[in-house]
Amino acid sequence: MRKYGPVIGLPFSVEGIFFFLEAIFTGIYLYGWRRLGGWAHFWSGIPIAVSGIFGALSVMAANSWMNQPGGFTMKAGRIVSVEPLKVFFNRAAAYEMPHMLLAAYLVAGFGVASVYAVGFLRGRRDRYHRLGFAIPFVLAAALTPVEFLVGDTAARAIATDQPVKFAAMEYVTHTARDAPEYLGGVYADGHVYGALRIPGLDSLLVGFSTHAKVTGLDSVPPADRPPVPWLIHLAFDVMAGLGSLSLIPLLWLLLAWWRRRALPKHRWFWLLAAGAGPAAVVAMEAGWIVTEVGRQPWVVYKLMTTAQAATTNPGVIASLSAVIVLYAVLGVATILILRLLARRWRAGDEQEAAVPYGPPSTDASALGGEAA
Amino acid sequence: MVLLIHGSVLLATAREVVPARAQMATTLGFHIILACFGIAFPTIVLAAEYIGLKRSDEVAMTLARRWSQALGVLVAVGAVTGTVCRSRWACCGLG
Repeated sequence: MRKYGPVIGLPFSVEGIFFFLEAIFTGIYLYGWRRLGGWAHFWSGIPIAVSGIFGALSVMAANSWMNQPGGFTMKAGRIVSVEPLKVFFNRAAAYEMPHMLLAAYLVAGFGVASVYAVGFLRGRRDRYHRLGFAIPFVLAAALTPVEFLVGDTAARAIATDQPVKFAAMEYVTHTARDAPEYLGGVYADGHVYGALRIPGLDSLLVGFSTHAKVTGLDSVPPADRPPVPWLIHLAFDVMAGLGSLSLIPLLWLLLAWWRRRALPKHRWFWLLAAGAGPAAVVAMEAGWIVTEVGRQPWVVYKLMTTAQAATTNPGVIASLSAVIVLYAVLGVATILILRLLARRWRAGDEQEAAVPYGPPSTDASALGGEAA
Repeated sequence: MVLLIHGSVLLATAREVVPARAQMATTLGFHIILACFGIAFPTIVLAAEYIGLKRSDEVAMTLARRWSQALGVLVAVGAVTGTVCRSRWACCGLG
C-alpha cells in the first residue's frame, strides 16, 4: 500500500484537520454551557457538526478512491504526480459520500431515539422523553427515504463501475439478460441454493428493463472474484431489508401526526422504534461488509491486491487477540459510562463537571432560553 | 448482533488471509459506529438547542445539555479508536 501512499494519504490528512477542529469545538461547546450566552453557545456548536460532516466526506473520499482509483500519474511503478481534486471527487465519491453520510445520520438518529423508545415502553412518557425521542427520530426517519434512493442509485452505479462486486451482491453467476433477483440463499460452486428467486427483477433494477444485460461472476477468472459471495450477498440483503423495514415506523408516524398531531400510541410502534437503533447499526455494518469484502481480491480496485498490501508480520495474531480484548473492554466501558450519566440525570444530579481554573459560571446563561 | 456479524467476517476471512485483515475488520468495524455518532450526533444536539432557544423551551435545553455530555464521551472514545485505525494505516504507509 506504500506505493499509493502519496495519493490516499491526502484525504486522510485532510480528515485529520477536520477531526482536530471537531475535537476543539466539542471542547468549547461542552465548556461553554454556563459561560456563553444562548445563541453564542449555539453557534460555537455549528463547527462541530460541519467538521464532523467534512471529516466523514474525507474518509469516504479515500474509501471511494479505493473503489474507483484515479487522479494520479505513474511512471516506472512510481507515483509522479497527483491531482487532489480528482482523487477526492473520484467516480465512486458521488454516490458513496452521500450514502455513508446519511447512514451516519440514521445510526445516530435512530440510536438516540431508541434509548427514549425503551424509556417510553418502561412507562417514562413525560414530555422530556417524548421530545428526546421525537427530535432524533424525526430527523432519521425523514432521511430514510432519501437514503433509500441514494442506495438504489449507488447499486446501479456499482453494476457499471464494479460489475464483479455487483455480481456477488446479487448472485449473478453468468453474464445474461433477464437476470433474476435472489433474496437470501447461499452460493456454492456456481449455484444458488435456498433463495427466493424473482425472474427478471435484477435486470429491471439495473437497467429498467428485464432485457437489460447484467455482468456475472464468470466475466473474470476465479482468482479475480471475491472469495465469499454468500457473505456479500447476505450482507446486502440485510442492509436493503432493514432499510425497507425502517420505512414502516416513518409511515406510522406520518399517519399518527396527520390524524391526531401526536406521536403514535400503539405498543408496536414503540417496539419498532426501540429496535430501529440497533437495526441501523447492523445495516450500516452490513453495508460496509458489502463494499469492503465485495472489492476483494483488490484493495485498490484492479491495481493492487489485498495480499500485496496486507502485513505478513508474524506478530499479528498476538496483536489481533490484544485488539479484540481491548475493544471489548472499551465497548463495555463506554456503555457503562453512558448508563452512569443517564442514572445521574434521572436522579436530577445535574452539576456540571467542575472545570479547574475555569471562570465562574453564570447561572443566567445556563438557562439559555431567557437569552432568546 | 454486531458481534455476530463481526464473527462471520472473522470466520470468512480467517482461512483466506490473514489475521491482518481480521484485525483491520475489528478496528474499523468498531470505530465506524463511534464515527457515525461523531458525524451526526452534533446535529441532533444542535437541533435540540435550537428548539430550546427559539421557543424558550427548558426541556429541549436540558436534552441538549445532557446529550452534549454523551457526545463528549463518544467523541473521546472515537478519538482513541480512530487513532488505532490511523496507526494501522500508517503501518501501510497511508497515514
